[in-house]
Amino acid sequence: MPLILSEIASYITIFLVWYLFRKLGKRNVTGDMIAGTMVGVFSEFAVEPLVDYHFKITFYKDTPVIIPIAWGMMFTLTTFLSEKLYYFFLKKHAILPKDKRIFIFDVLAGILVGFPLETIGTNIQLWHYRFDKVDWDWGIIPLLNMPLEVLLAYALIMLTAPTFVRYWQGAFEGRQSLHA
Amino acid sequence: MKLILWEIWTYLQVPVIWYLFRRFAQRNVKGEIIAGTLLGIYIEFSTEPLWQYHFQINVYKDIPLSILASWGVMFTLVSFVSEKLYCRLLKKNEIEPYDKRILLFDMLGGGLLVGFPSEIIGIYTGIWEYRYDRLNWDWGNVPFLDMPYESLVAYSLLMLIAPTFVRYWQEAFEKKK
Repeated sequence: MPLILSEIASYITIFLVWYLFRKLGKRNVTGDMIAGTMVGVFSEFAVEPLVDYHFKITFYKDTPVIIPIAWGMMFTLTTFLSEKLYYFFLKKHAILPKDKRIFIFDVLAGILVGFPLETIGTNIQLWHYRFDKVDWDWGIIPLLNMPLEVLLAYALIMLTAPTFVRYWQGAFEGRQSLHA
Repeated sequence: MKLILWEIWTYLQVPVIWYLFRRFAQRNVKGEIIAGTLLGIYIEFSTEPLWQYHFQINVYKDIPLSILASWGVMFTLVSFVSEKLYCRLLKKNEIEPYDKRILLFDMLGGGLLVGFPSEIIGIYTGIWEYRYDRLNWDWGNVPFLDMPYESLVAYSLLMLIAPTFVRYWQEAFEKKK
């Protein structure tokens, strides 16, 4: 698919995910997306030299506007899945405040949601890693053709970022948070 | 020789800061230090190729063990300063839950008064250096400080999000269960 179509599709996907949550999940995820986007802005700004993007509309060097927003969508999906896994495995109806076990589910959900999205983006060449800069030498994950370091980086960000999303989701929508 | 002393200090600062908070602020900051260290692990691992450290004891490539704990100390101080500014300027006794104004204090107060000065110390003492050959930074330097504007912006963005994690989990990390 030409890159311009991928870029258009990525904007549409954000609205689609928001709409599907609203329609099927009866859940407004505007706050999740805003909070997740804030994490994405930091993350992208910090690692900008290590990744090359190929989209048209950018906000800082070659970092596309859509990418931090896509982080917002990804964190929305990750926190959603993490919660569902938490409920299912621990037989709960809500996340217990300050329950450290949520870290396990955040990392697991991040690997189930975020890492596949990263793999797709890399394999269809929406971006590529600057292997001349990154010094990664742990090897490649079989079949996925992704560096192991990317998987660990995902696990680490998923350990920390969902707390921010959960805490601020309600406030960014002008209501009390669901979980924090 | 100077670097080895700095390395020793980066280890010592953890119990020293913990003790000073305990002694003078009647506050246990163990949880803040643990939560901040978790953030430090993510930050250092994901940006590892962009800096060069010069300490002896490392955890991954040239990232020193004590730098991770230093993030814990720094986020402890950032959260503390930000909270004090918030309470003082808004005339409150504590942070109101979900008050978005704390983000401003975290970014401007904690980040500019604690985080960025810590970064400046690290650079000036030669504990680490920026890999300008990889960074592509071209916004120029902050006057008088001789520090890249990009570093300042990165700190501000980080401080916008990280202290929430520290505040949320601090208490939980101080409990055994």
